[in-house]
Amino acid sequence: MSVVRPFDKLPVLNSAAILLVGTDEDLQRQLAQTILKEKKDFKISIHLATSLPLPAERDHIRPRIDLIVFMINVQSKYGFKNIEASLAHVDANFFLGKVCFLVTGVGRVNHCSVDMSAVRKLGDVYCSPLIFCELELEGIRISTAQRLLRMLQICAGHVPGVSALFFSSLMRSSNDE
Amino acid sequence: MDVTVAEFIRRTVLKVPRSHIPALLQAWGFLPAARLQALDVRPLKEAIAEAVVQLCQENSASIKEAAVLDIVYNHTFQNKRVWTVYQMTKATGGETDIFDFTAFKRKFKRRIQSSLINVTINFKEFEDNAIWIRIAWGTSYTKPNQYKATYVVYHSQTPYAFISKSINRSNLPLLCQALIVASNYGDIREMELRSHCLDSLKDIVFKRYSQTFQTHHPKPLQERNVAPENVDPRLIQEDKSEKERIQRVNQEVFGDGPQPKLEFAQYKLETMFKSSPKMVNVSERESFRCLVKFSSPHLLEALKSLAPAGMADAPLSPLLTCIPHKARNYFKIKERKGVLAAGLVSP
Amino acid sequence: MAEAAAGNPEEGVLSRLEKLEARARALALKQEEAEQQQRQEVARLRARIRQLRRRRDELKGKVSLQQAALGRREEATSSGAEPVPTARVQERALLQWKVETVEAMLRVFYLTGISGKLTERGVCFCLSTAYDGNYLDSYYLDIVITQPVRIHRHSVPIFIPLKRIAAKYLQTDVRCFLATLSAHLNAYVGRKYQADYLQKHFSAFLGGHWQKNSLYNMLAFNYDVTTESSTFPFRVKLLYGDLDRSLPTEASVSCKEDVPASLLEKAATHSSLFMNMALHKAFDTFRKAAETPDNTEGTVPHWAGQETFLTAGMGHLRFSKSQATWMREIGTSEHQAPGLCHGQLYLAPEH
Repeated sequence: MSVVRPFDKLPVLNSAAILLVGTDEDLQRQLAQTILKEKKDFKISIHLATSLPLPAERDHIRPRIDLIVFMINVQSKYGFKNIEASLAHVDANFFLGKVCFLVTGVGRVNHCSVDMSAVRKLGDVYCSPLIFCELELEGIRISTAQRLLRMLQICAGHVPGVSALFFSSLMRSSNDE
Repeated sequence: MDVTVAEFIRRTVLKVPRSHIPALLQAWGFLPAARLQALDVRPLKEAIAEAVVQLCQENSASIKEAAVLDIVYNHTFQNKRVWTVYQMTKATGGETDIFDFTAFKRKFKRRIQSSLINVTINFKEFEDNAIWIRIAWGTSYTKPNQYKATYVVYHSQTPYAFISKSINRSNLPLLCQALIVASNYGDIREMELRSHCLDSLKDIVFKRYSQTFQTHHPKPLQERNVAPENVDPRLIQEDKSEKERIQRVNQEVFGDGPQPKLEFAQYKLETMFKSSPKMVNVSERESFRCLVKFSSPHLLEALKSLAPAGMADAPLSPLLTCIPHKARNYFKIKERKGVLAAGLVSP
Repeated sequence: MAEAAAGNPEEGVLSRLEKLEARARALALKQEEAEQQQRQEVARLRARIRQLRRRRDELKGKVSLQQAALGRREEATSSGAEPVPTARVQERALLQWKVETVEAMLRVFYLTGISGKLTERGVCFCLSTAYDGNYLDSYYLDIVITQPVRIHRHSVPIFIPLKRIAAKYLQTDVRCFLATLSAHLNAYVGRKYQADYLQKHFSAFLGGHWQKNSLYNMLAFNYDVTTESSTFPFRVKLLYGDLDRSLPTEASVSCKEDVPASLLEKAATHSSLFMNMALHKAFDTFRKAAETPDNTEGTVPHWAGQETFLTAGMGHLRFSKSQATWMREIGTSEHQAPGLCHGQLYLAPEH
């Protein structure tokens, strides 16, 4: 099984690749479209997958992945388990700031089927930020897209002086407080 | 005209949504068309009902006509009732008989009225060969209660009858007997299949629901509403082949067409509890009772979209997908003798 | 940072910044959209170019092939040697052509009425039905080949006696089983087609009081017969005793007793027509007869009195089956549909 690695390929000039992983296809697609609509000054490629590992037969054409976003819907236990299983196929180096979790569906408490503490624990264990957002709402989807784009820029090394590791430790200190 | 008949007609008209009133009265076919056209449906429903009753007075409607109106109402709004399917069987594989509606009516009436005098029985045949029977039950001492009638839908020459759920459970055996006598069958039993949607029940038992069969001549591909193929080259679907597999498997299981409409499926588990050896506090041979109920406005369509929406693995458990094939939505899951896996037990 | 206090016309720096940012974003979005559109346009044009190029190449290829063929023909007369690669290409083309023909054959097989495909566990049969030159519904049977052979799934209507046919033939003679089932299905769709067609196209003739059943093996209805003076209602009752035929085995036409004798005669001819002719065709004949009244007297032969018997009182006429091959002649010669042979094949097993 192929593990996704952050540094196994050379970066392409002025471009970045983001990988969205999650079982909720609709939401994933909507978010991807929103990201595409945003103005950015680099070439982006968005890869969509329901689970990891990614199929090996496309390995040679896939660019270097700069940021992995796991989309957790707390209303779907199946989706959460799937993400837990997928995390095993991510190279450890990714967790130095190149992974984040999008948590959706928290708003409707009575529909939650995944325990929030389990989600928080996931974030702690993998040293990656949790971003809470309701992607069904367009405004939030747009701001989330902007945020992800900014993070992607950092992770792809487009922002001089800020590295992914630096950025994530910055985020974490504010989280822990 | 009888006062009770007038009152019954009035209440039936009041039940109908205003926009449906003209069509319903037309389908009833009792009142002259010219008078119906003159009927004003703009005022309050009470006023419309009064006008209809007035018209019925003029045409001296009897309980028979009122009952037909009730049948038409229930035919139009059949989804308001819960329908249960009954299956009839023949002892011997006799010849297919030539169904005669008049004989059917006569036999049915005679069987019921031989045991109970105070009943109103009415029949109406609809376009799709469906025979609707309405029975208002009384007792030996009281008149039939027109407001709590039982409805039976029967298609000639089929071994199935659809009976509306009613509170008169005590009269059910008599009704069943009358049905098998009238339709020349030997035995009748209740199937574990219930729904609000009568047409879907028919589709299931008459095998008209969409199934996929393998053939060499692919049917002219209907315009399937596939999501518009994403043309943006920046968007890359990584697991396309997996998605295609899910689509294919799903299509094999559910077919192309729309699914019959059921509202729920119920699974009753009667299995032994199996625990890991570490858990000592649970005794090994304790039976594990559990009731799982799936409900949705459109259960089968929901099940069909589970895997493509990424909420379940494809293919789904056969326990869920066998509903139309087995023609039942109430299941009892028991342990197979000698086999560890829980199996489906047919009655 | 309370500079954005209420009533203050001057805005705070942050909110101003926010506004500016939003404006920048909106502008950027617009620009992006314009660019996107331009890109799409370019892509479309590129695709068009590719398409045209491909077409050009195709045409070029064709031309060169033709030239080569011409040249070869000329060469063949002079020298028999042929380059190896062309042979291989030809072989492959031939193979592909063969595969395509076989596939097409398989696909076309359903026109015969019975076709099947091997599945993992058995065979899936498709029984297509037709009547009067029209292809009608197809029914499917998924058969699992085990001991004993069993029907896994099917879409045969419930009132077709599938169980009985299966019990009789399925284990011993699948061919016979399919043929019987197919005959039943074809007869059923045929009867249904006749009844539906009649209701749809001859509603002016029909008087209502329809009685039918799911299997369409009993049909009773009223229809009007017009003479010069007035209209008389006739009631016809058709019984289809043979479930694998689409013609009735018993037809009785009745009318009120106070009708003139000529009408009784007419009823007799009608009932024999019903016996031997599809319903809608029979009505077609009536209609034609009504249009040219003189002609009917000529065509209806004299046998009408021979084999009929009148039930006293009702003026009830009944025909035995053996009579009036006559009428068949009339019916089939005048009204044979120019349809597909398949329809004919099933519709009239007695031919």
